[in-house]
Amino acid sequence: MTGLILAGVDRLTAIRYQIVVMYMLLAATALAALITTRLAEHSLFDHAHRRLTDTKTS
Amino acid sequence: MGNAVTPGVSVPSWTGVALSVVLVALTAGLAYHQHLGLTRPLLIASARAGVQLVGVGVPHQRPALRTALLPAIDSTKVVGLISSTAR
Repeated sequence: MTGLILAGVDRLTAIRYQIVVMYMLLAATALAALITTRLAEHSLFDHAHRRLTDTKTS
Repeated sequence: MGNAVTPGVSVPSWTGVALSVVLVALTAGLAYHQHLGLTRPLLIASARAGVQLVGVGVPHQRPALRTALLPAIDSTKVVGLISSTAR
């Protein structure tokens, strides 16, 4: 946003750009954290929530 | 000033803003569906971001306040000065 304003772009356009950036950051971070946690949970615990000590042999 | 965007640069329209809002809504819906307890903070954060950015942007649109916020700075002249001294 600052860069766009310094470059002479319309203020409303810069603000719009920044809103899109913030919302995409928010959604991407939340989705990435959720997916990573679910995958880790799937690979580290069994259906009874017991820790799998060695994923190769189990 | 105002339409000084380089040709070919894609700037998101209000449709793009709506699409990013849909992305946030998708995340909030997923958090609600999986009972993560994230729905309320997520919605509060997105509402705050929108309100704050619009709150910054609207005063900047008004020339009187713009000069009050950025005294004696014409951004295009500053960029021109920087680019001329850089060479």
